[in-house]
Amino acid sequence: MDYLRQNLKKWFGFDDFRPGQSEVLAALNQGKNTFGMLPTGTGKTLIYQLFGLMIKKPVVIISPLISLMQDQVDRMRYLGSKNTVAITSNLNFIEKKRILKNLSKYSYIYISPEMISQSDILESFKKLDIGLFVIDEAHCIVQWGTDFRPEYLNLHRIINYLNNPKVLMLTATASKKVRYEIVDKLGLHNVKNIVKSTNRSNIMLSVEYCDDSNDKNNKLLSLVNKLRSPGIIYFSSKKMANMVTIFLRKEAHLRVEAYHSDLNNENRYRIQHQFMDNQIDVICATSAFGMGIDKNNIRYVIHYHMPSNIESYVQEMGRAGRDMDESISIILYQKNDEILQYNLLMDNIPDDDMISFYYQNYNKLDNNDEQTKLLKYYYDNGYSKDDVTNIFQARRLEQKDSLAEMLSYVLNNHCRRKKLLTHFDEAFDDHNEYCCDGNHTKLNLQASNLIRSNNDKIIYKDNYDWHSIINSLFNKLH
Amino acid sequence: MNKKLLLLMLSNKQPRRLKLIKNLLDGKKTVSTLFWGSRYHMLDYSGIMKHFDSIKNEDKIINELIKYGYVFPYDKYQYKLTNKGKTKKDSLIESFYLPKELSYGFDYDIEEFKSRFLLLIQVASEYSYNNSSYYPVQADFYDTNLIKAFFHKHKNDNFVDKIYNIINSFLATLDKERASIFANLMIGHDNYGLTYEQLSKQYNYSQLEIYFINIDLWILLIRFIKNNSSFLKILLKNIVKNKINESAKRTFNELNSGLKISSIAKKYNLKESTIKEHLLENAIFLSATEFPYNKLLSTANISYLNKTYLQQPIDLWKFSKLNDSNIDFFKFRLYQIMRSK
Ligand SMILES: [Zn+2]
Repeated sequence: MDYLRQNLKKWFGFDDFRPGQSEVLAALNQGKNTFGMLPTGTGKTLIYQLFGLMIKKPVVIISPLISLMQDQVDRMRYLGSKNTVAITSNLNFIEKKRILKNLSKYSYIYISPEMISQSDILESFKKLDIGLFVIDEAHCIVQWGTDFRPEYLNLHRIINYLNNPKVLMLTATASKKVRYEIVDKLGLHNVKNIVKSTNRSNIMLSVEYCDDSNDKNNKLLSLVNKLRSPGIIYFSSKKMANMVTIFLRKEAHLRVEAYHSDLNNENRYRIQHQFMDNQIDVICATSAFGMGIDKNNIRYVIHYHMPSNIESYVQEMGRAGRDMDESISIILYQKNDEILQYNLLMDNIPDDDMISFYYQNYNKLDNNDEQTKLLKYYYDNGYSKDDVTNIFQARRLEQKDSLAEMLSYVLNNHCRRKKLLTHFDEAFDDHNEYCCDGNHTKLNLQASNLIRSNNDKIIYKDNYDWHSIINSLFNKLH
Repeated sequence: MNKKLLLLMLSNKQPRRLKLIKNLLDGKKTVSTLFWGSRYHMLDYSGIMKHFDSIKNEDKIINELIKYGYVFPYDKYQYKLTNKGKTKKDSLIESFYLPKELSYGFDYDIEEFKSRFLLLIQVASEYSYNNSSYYPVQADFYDTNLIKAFFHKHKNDNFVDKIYNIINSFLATLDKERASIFANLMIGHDNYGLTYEQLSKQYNYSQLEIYFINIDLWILLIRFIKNNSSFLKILLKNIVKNKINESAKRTFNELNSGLKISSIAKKYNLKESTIKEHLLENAIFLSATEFPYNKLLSTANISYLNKTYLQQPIDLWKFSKLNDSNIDFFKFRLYQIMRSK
């Protein structure tokens, strides 16, 4: 057994790496800055977790998903790395000070680009002997992150300032062009690229064309009744997620729960873990609300509304089939669905009037909506009104293009996988009845074991007696 | 806001301001909210909606209540129950779950306490199964460290049994239904409890009522720990707070020790108007004998105010009637509070 696999066995108990993991680790071991493009579900976390254990120096992880950072910390701790911390704006002054003072005691430190740009924090990191500087979801550098935050552009300077620690860029979704841009923006040289196919061959691809919303709901109903659970349905709005939850509970006799930002922390925890524990069959989620857990056996991901770009689609449908069993991704498309997406996208970007208004009334405004916060960010960082107008104009065009690409995937009638992989500069020519329903192909769901059978009984919770609940909580059942 | 809740907050005898009810339930603490909250005998309910849905659509709901014939507008801002509304309210008092355990004098930081307690139960539960690899329920940095330290201090000393016994004796004090709801809030080994929505389906309450039942359960537990468990007292750190805030209390003490409003303001570098608000807040929450009204209202003030207002119900007093006197709004409101006791 080679050195890396010995370590894998020692720390995690696995015999073998997933595709790409060991190559990335080998490149890092040789001291190279490394770009890892590995498909969704291949355990990118394990790479830096294992590397950190091997070099016994702190690993810093730049993560764009502020809302998911605490989840990532919890997951690392769950996986055995207890010395993990997230530095987020949720920390109060004293907590932040305490963490910064003890920074070297942590093995894994998650932080957003915003936070590490703050001078007191940056100074604390400079004193640290950083073993690895990870940029998670590296495609955000080019796409300005999920909320198009320009801080990502600072990372170049930050890496230099921190005496050029070894950098690992990770993503599941970046075309050749995007990969090149990322490395360029970070000012890195001699980068070792480990690029694996984006293709998730165990996820069948399907698009169902619907006449109207009634037809869409009926198609959805027949899908969830037919397909083996568990599954996720993605929506663009909380309201629709709630409505379809109620509809499916009534019509499908499945255990269905809505999952979006209206849930408080506590209920969010309950639903995530009930889902993990197979106490829920279907989750109706909004795409914006991330899931902090990794569930392996999700059999289907349905998009009730088309995603707004290919990258999001690949991320979301990539939640299916992490156990490598056959799974399916279905987009329900109704004519003009893209207009809904377009409007949602444009609503998120301040228009020219709003920009002018903001720059004229900067002192008088105190509302806290997302758009105002965004404008405040640019204003505070010295961008002029014209700069900002141009930036947002460019952003609008970019998003429009991305949506058009997504639409062209949805409307494509040939092999869907070929079309999807083309976006990532990959060739594909293996279309068959397990690939996709393009080319007038009927997917073979039966042979893929994706059809619900009579054995798939749903067990409803029936224990509500407090004595037995408390006894089971404290291991007193016997 | 829920229709039933709003109906319960209105009266057939006293016209009540809709905005004020909303602000009170949302936890706004301005003197005017507190004063009218006390006039409506609703101070206990201050802030009860803070951690549920904030109230947004009160105008729509009041219009529906008017349409059903339960409510009529008294003037532009105030509403009253009709006879039909009063009958409806009486039957709702029987059937709708309103919090019963709220306290006049104290605020409980239920959210904070809950997050500590849930984490503690989870830690103990997983420990009882010898499992150290699990996703902890979310608590802030401070609470996480509090529970962690507590666990490490006691884990080798019958930790699980102690917690198990405390929970059992607490649940034994409750009726069966509420004990079962409480047990279903706990999170631990292979137990994730139920969401408000799931509880509401299982126990046949609205989600708002489930939330109110929650409030009561957590307050009952806080009191139970306070009276019966020195072991878990650490969980109560900063949880029970006096309704009168610290700086208002300080102002009150300075007044009692002989300082004048202007001197207190100078001493703490505050505006006089702030000091006056502090004093009004104290007067609202303290009983007639606890608050030294005679230090702030002279005998001449009081007899003038008596002459002006005593013939009228307190709610209808207008400050404008004092235009010709040298009595300011502070003294007017203070007198109004004094006469409310
Ligand atoms: Zn195909």
